[in-house]
Amino acid sequence: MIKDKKGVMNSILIQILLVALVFVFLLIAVSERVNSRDVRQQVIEKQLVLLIDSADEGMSFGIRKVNVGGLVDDVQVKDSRIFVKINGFGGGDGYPFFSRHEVWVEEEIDKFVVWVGER
Amino acid sequence: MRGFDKAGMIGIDMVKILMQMLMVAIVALGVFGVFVISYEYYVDVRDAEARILAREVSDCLASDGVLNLDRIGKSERKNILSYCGFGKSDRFYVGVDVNFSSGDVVKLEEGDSGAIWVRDLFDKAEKVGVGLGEVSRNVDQIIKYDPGYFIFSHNVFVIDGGVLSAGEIKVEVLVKNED
Repeated sequence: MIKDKKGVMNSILIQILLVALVFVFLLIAVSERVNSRDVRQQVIEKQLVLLIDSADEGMSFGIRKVNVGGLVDDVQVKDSRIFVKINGFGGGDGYPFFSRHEVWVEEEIDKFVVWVGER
Repeated sequence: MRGFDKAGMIGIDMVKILMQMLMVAIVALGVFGVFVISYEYYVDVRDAEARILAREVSDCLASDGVLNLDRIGKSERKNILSYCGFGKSDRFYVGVDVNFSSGDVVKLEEGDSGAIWVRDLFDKAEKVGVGLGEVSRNVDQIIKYDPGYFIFSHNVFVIDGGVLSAGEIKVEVLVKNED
């Protein structure tokens, strides 16, 4: 009887642990969505893309690291796409831009500067 | 016999636990799916991109109000974006109709014009009152397929075969969803 009770207790504990594990993973995944970091990332990326698309040669744009949308960790340009990492969220494929000029990013102490034009 | 009974009991317990875990996992996935749909938002800037690209192409072809067709070779007339210095992209369709005062039309273009019918479909559905417009505004997975669009025209002078004549260019730009 005692052994049976122990066995039942063990199985209940295992079930509780496994259910708790599933819900921890669920909460982590949901918190990513609820914080809307991907939306803030989209907003900044697409704002930059529109600026680059309409820029003339020699123009530059600064993105403050301490931004209204959050803390901007990194801005990169690769294969005619712009990638922004904000609040530790750097996932995604970026957003493509079109420009006749070369585009590159320089990092300064308090901001990232996107340059459009001949180096 | 007792050993077999024990093994049998353990087996039944494991099956029960697995079934319960499967139910919990399904419920958790369902809840996660609802959150993903509720909190997903697609920021659509393709109309703005279409407007910018149309202006850039127009500036490229006739920056001083004169469009010189003699400088644009026959192969370049089908690759007008590349002629203007933009890279290849499947996202864009650009069509430029050069209308002469004599009534002739020369077409410069690049890209797949097939997405125009998708644009027309969304417009027709709204006009007919299917309500697709309201649905498409609320469901990001649908609105992604309504391409960005801009069309404008303006008067220019056209040089063709060394002859200068008055004309008009109509620039049409379609920006598709990037996959």
